[in-house]
Amino acid sequence: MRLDRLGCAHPMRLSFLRILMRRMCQEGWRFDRPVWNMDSTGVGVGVYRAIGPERTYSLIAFAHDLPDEMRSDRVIATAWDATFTLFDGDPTQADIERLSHNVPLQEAGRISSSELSLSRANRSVRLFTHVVDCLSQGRQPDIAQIDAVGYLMRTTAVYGSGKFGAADRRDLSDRAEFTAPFQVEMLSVWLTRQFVVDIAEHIAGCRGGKRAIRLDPELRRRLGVGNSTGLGMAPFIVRHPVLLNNWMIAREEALSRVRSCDEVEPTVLIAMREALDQARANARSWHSEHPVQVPKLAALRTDLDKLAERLDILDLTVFRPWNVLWQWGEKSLSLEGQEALLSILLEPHGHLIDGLSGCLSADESVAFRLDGAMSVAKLRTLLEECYDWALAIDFDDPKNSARFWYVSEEKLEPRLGERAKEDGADREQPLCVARLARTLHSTLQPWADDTPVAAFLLQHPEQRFMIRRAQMGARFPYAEVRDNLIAEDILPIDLMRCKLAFFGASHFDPRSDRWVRISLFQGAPYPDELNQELG
Amino acid sequence: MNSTVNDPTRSGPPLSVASGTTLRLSRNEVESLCTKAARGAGMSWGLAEEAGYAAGWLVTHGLDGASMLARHLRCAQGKSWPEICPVVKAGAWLAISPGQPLCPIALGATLSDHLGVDSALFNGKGLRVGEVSSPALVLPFLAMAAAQEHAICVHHEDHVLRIDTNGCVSGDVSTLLAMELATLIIAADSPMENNVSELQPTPEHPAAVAANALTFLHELSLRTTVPASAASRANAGATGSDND
Repeated sequence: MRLDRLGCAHPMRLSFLRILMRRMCQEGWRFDRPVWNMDSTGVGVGVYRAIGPERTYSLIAFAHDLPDEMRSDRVIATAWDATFTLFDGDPTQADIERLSHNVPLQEAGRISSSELSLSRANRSVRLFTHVVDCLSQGRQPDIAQIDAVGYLMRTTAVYGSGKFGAADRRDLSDRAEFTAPFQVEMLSVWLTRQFVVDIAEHIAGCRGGKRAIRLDPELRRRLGVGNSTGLGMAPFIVRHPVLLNNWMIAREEALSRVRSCDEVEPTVLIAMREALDQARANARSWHSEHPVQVPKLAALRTDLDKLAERLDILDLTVFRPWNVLWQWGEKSLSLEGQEALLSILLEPHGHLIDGLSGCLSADESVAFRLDGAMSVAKLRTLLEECYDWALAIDFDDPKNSARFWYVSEEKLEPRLGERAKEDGADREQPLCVARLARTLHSTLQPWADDTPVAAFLLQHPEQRFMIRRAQMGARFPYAEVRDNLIAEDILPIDLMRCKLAFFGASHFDPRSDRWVRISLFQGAPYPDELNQELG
Repeated sequence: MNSTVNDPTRSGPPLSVASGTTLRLSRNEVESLCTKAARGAGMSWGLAEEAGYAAGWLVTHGLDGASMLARHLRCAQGKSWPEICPVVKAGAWLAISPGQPLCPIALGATLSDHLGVDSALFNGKGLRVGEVSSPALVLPFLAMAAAQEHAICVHHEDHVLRIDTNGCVSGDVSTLLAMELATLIIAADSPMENNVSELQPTPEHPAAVAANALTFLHELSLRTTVPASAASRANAGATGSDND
């Protein structure tokens, strides 16, 4: 659970968007677009329905005409090319009217418990213009340009669970389709992907008339939904230790099951090769200019070549061949390569691991109540055993406490400051678990072993946060990112990549040490393709 | 069907609603806002989380817990821990000095902490606690305690309310809700059958929050944030343009 490995995570079978796609295929969900009310400039409203076995969900998409100078991905933006909400059921005209006054305002609007998400997207102006121009003139866009960007629009925020009045995740948790994490958000983004193609074809059609054509399905598949993400996402996995633990346990359990296969079926080997080919294709189409990501990508491509050679000569008659391959990978591959190997190993083993998708959520309330009866000695031992990595850090060294996490008053978004240069460290967020653990440990030193924590807390109420956390850390072995999150050389993008990989994001492209572009659903089928498969 | 052009440049209305009205927040929002507000009012982060829990529990039981917390924080903000925490002694947990009411969050959390330390905490004549401000805010902690241990009855003056192990609250809740200060006696109770709960869990329809309380909680929560600066803005996003 170190940052450098989390910062190399790859999407895999248990990623949340894959879980959504599997469920919709298995359950035979149907999709349609009952409302499409757009003018010739592509301004208006569209509704996309996803009809499941028990319930229907509708993405309501508002398309806007955004001047170029107002296009910003930052939370500070106030206008977007398109805005969305996922509605619980079939919206009436009155619902759409109500939402038309709120959804386009995003954070400044208000939605209700009938809505499950709130999101917005901006165009990749370059690619969007190219695609619309080409289609309106009756020709397909250039594949190289499509692959260079990979999306027509990127979401800049997708809010779920109770944000701005939306339904609370806890109130949806008894719905089978939402038992895995972030299913609402994934469904919303997947339907958004269809809308983005539709709006491009619509504008092209209005412009080109009879000459205009639709986007070739092969090209269309190559487009995902981009996502632009800042620091807001980084604290999430620190603030949700039980959830992070469950994600990691599922991942480790999946890997363990695959490594424990005594022998390899020939069909599995074929599927493994396909997964490797896909990973290599993905690595080829993955671009970044960021100085951290460039060498990592180079290492990944080399590693995947090495892996292909290894797979060709792997002796499948040995006991537990996948375990042998994994152990080879640990010695021979970079962290990027090892994480890619994990993803490839899991791919053909759905029958062994897909059931783990039911273990990824967390009822965080079970870990909320603090155990006041625990003795000071036990708490001390617990810290020394579970937080040894934190106790070893010297926070008197300025480079180990160079940064501080805070929330900006201006936009209420998390940011990372320089302790020595910027004001605001007195309002630091409690995200540096390592330093909190160390402070708790030293505060406990003079206390008698048999004192209950409840009595300690009467004297030290400021330790309440970390005591709750430490007791969680002892129960949940993967609850903590075992690194110093305020160190001089912290890379917040590592935290973001871990979460984004669990979402199923690909093409991780850092734009700074705290800002990243990714792609979702690239290569996945579209709603009409799932309809066709089901006949 | 709506086909009006949505003017994307229109700025939104402020979130807070007109004075005297109410706004329905999700439980998530109530917990988050109340945690930040409690921290802004001077509680430690760990205690502020307890305040968020209490307000969240109350709004999903049909009560405006956010307003209760706001009312309490108005009086208690900036007070030091020794001024608001109970002095723990067998049979009675009292304030350090008369006229200095206990904080219901500090009291509730301390009660919760001591459950496993003293299994006879509520036995016999019960535990006298007080005087506590906004006593209804202690209810969520007592519900948690009842779920851990056994049914609890709470006496306040001549009134009694009962909390069962399943969270069912019966008896005279309304008097407790109306009180700004109270001394309570908390005692173990025998399990009850067929009690009708006065507080129905309503997770999908949390109680609405009064506008003036919301405004005040927002003000407090802003004390946990850092004002804008050029360096802060510059470090927040990508180094290049977002238009690609």
